[in-house]
Amino acid sequence: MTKISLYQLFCGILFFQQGTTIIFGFSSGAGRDAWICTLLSTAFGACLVYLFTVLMRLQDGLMLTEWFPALFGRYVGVPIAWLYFVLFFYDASRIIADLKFTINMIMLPDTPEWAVLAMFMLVAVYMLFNGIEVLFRIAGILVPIVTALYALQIILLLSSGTMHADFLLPVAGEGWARIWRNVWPLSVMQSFGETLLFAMFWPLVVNRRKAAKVSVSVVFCSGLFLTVLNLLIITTLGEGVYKRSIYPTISMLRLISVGDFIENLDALGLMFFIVTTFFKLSFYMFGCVFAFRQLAFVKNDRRIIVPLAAVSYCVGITMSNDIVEHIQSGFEELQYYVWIPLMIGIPVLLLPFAWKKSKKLKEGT
Amino acid sequence: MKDVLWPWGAQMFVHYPWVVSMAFGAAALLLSCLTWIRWNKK
Repeated sequence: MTKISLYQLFCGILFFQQGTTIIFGFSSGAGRDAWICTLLSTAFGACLVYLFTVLMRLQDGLMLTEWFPALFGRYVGVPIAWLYFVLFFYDASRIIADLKFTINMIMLPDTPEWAVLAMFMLVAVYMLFNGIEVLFRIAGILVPIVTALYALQIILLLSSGTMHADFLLPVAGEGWARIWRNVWPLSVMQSFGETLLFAMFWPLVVNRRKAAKVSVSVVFCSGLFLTVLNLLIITTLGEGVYKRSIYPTISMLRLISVGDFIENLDALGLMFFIVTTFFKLSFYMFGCVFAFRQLAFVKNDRRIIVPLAAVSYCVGITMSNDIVEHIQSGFEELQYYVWIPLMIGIPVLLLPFAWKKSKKLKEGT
Repeated sequence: MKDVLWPWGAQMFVHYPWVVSMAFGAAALLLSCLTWIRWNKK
């Protein structure tokens, strides 16, 4: 039977929340105040994840897609549950599209994108065949390594003398309106709202009572990571470049130069990106497989892994023409029309029903 | 019209976001039929 430890859950959520955010820049619209934006989003994100964990405790032992049929019956609950499958599937495909543009623009400009993505997808499929426990275990092994590399990156940046603390001033110089505009909804939803996916995996955790605490605490840890990253980028590049750059982390790492010897460390940034993207994609695909298995009464996961991965690959590769329209559709439309209703609207509506049912069950016992 | 429909995801989202959200709902409803059929078979 699959069992996930609390440490593995912590590492899995941490990688998931860093995801593609680590390379695209978090709250970059807020310019030099992005770090304040990140701190505020972390606080709101923690509240949101807390809401998810309350729902999880009220529906003890059930996966996200089981919550709705259990509360609303088969004719109302099942379509809502399938909505989450569609959401996870679309988000997984978006990650493939993110990767398609990033790899071509930064790392392998002449290699056909379909080939790189096919290789990436093959590894993800291999991971899906191995099972969710293996993915969480690998996250547990890789988090200390990635954290050490992250610390190394900070040391190298400090020693290359490219950081200017005055780039952060004046703090909130353009007013709080710009900060709030970036906090809600994009920054709250982008990493923290997406954590709703883990409601598919919480029933597999050894200690579910503590899983709630761990899930909220990892939001603070992730927020701290992102705040430090934002501070590094702003003090290195300044507001102008940070706001305009699509890949600010890569631009920052390219500026590292220690004694004219340690240079061109953008590979380090890409390594972070590939690792965190791989985890995010794999978690989303696992979410899809679990949801499909549960909703379509499939007995064996293995029969649906390859078809789901193949369709997701095709959707991801044909999704957008260029990075600009890809980002525009994701950052401007997706959040209002899909993320907010599904990640905040439905969970908030679900809360009184779940509470009432749990109260009834307690009274019954 | 072709420019809006292809590549299907991004342009459609930018111009007609409500259509995409409706498509999400329609996909979920279609898939629900699979559950209902299998449920009745059990």
